[in-house]
Amino acid sequence: MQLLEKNRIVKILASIVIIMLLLMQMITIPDHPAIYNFLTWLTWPALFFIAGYYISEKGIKANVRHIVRCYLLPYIVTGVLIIVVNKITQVLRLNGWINTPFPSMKTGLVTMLYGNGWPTGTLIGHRDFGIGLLWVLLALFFGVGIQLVINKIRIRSVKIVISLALMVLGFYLGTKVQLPWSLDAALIMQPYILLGQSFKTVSITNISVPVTIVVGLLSVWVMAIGSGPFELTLATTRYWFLGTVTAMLGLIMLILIASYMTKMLSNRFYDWFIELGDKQSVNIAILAFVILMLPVGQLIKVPYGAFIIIYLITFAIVLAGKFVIRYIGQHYFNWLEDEEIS
Amino acid sequence: MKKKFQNFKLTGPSFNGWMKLLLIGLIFSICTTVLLQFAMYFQTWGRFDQTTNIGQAFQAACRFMERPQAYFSVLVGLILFIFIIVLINHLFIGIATYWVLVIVAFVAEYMKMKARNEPILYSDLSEVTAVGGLTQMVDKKLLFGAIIFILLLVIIVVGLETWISKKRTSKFAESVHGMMFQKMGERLLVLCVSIVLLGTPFLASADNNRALLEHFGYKWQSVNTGDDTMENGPIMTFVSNIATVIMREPSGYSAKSMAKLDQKYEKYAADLNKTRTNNLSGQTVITLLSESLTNPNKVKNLKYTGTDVYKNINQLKKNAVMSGTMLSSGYGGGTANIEYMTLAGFPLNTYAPEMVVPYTQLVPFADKVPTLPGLFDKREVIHPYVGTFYNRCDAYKKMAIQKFYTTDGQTYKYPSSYAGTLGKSGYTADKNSYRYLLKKIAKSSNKNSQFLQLMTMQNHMPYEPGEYGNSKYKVTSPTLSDTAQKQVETYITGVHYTDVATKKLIAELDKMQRPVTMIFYGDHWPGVFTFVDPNKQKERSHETDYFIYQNKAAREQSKQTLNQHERAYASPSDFPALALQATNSKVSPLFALQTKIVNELPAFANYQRGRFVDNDGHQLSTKDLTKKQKTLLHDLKLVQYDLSSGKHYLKDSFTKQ
Repeated sequence: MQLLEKNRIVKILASIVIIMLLLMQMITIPDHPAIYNFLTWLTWPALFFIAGYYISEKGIKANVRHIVRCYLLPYIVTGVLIIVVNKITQVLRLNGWINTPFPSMKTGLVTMLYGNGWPTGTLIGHRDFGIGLLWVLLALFFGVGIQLVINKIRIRSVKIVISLALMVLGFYLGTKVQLPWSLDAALIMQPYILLGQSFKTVSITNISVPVTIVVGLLSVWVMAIGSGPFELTLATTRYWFLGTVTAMLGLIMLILIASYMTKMLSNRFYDWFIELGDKQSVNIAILAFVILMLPVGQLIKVPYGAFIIIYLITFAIVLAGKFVIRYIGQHYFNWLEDEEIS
Repeated sequence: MKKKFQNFKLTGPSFNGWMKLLLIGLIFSICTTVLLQFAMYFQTWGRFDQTTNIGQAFQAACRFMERPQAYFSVLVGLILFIFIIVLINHLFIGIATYWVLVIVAFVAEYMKMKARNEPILYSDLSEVTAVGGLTQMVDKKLLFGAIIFILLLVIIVVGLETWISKKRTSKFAESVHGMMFQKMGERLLVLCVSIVLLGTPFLASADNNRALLEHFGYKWQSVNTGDDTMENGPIMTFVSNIATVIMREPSGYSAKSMAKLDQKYEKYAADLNKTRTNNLSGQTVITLLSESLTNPNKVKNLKYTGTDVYKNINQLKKNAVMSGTMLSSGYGGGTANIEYMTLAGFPLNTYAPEMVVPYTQLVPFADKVPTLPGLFDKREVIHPYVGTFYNRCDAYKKMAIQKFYTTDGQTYKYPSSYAGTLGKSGYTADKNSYRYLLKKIAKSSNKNSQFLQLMTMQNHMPYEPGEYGNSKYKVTSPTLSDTAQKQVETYITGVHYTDVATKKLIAELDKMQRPVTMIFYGDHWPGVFTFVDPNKQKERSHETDYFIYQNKAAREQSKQTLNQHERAYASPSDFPALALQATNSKVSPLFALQTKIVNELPAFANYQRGRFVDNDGHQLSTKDLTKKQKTLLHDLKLVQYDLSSGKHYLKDSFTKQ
């Protein structure tokens, strides 16, 4: 399989991921636990797989520059924006229109610096506040960063063993305390990042697509029932070993679906579809801001028809925001059109 | 040699082959889980989602797939499927073998649930040898259907395997071969892994087994294995019963120490028997467990208008050969545990803390369960309700009970002519169950000894307001909500009816020529006194009344005068020894030990471990016991351990029935 085709598959995968991620963020978990649990087992592995795929062969400096621009900067900018908007909202008393997740700027700043997504026990004691979906960007930054260090090892089997060992360590630490900067999640996701990296050299042409897709669906469904969500925000899951196997199967299923879609979609529709997943980190940053700051959550408990409309509106907001930011980036900051792959 | 070595290479099915195997395995294991759960729900008992509507039962079984516990069943099914396939290494024969096992399990589960509302337990496997007898019990239509299904499966499998072996080059045959193991290495590896996974629950300790199940979301339903299986699925319930902690080894347990105990209590029994003149022949001993009976006048702050609802029982206590306060282990429930203690003579406090329901966790696994009923020729239990709770049906077999009369009994059915209720109550009135008890005594032959146990139901919860019509008893204190007040009034009215019926029962017993000794007790407090905190009033809320009554014939036969307050505070485990003392019967070394416990140890306060209550009502802890008492307690533990989970060093003569 040509690298070009792999790129197409990963782009499609990125679009699928953002659709799932948005859905995950918007549904109320107590009302739809089955859907939420199911999506977590597919979304998180795929997201980190994509990040692994975009690790280039150009050397560590280029890669570090890449992850700083793609993950760290959006995290800082969005984080600061959230804190500032939070303050403005408090001062202008716009609470009905915009959420105020932090009681003070200091709390917001500490939460942002720690990078925990959800209220939890941390190294600095229990924290009642979380930075929301933004944690993903930090986990991606450190996850890829760690993988770059592992890349120094030349022997493939040793890389696999170390990645798996770090994953186990992440699960273990996740049961004890939430590490800063979403390090638990970054460790847990090492095998998926490695898999993404290896995808460039692996052939998937001989895999029986329908059988593997059904196996992936069934196993993820059964795991979602048995284990609940793949709760990466707090880095916990009931069955880490079986969960990892299942997540791998789910990931292969998504890759095969994406591969199938690249063959089935017309060029025009393909071009449109991959726009959804393009500049994923910007997608995540905008989505994090929208979910944390706009009272979307209050609108969720509505009939399914209305939910779809709200879902699409939110999606439109995220995409519109991304297009604006991308336009500014490409025209004023020399962003490359195909940043992730370069 | 080289060729043989090559054969052990790790070469198995391709990725696609594994995916296909997994796909088949996952679908089969999901179907198995739903099917077995369907066998639980497609029943007449009416517990949880049980229904005779096939569609609703199937829906309920499908809904089970939304529970975390379903994952365990699916996983077990999948591993079992892979194990069978790898072992046989022929796809269709493997599939057929798997489905034969599933069908057998389905029929067995369905039939046992139909008969007793209990799933197949690990202890049931001992009955597998009696296949002939078991198949006779199975619904003929179901058995016929299962046989037809299995035959069809065999025919299809033989056809497919023959076709595959002839058409090796077809795409389908190649696909099937791609799923099989061509070399021994991977086959052996997968076989070993699946054996280890499937065998773990059989090898793990009870603690580890429970931890494993709880990891998979197991929620133990201690009261009823039928409820447990509907909550967790029959596979989890089965695994949960493979191993259980009954008791941890007491210090100094050895063949030598047990031989010493054997001698010690044989001698003590011989000493006791010098003054004991009776055996039990021609006598009737009754244990009458009065459901949720306690004296409302002793409930703190409770005041009501109307006559004393407990006056007759109080009077009977005064007239009894022995009476006092019983220290119950339960509050609002736990009947079977108290019942176990009264029959076996062993307190629950000395077993492991994890052993909370002896009928499911102890009796099925114990080497021997010597009981008071075992001393009699005729041994019957009467319970005017369904008999499926607490695994009683199975437990009683091991506890020497010959007949168990229940309203749902198939062989021994509690007659509907004695099942009349009071007012709108759904439970058999005590006066009617007493009538059946009297009938049983009247039918006994003169020479045989007879043991009867009656477990009443009249005062069982939920104490619906107005259950007995307009109650003449009105609660004046404390101030309660209207519903809570009416519930208490219902309970008090029920106690009044029990009080009157018990007086009449005693009057009837007095008229009998046959010696009758009756141990009467309330098993635990009802959970109706919402103003009582059982933790703050732990002692009081676990005290009920007991008395041992003997009719004139029994008193004459025993030829002794007992101190009525000899055991002012008694543990239910004291009752066998007290019954034998009251009847002046000779004792085995085991009952001699129990008699010594009654004579020399304060009563076990079963609601708190390491607690005792002396004859004056003072609370004591183990450290307050004298050295001699501690030695006696240790002797009891050694005997309990040896009979339940130890190595059975004690001679048969120690427990001779």
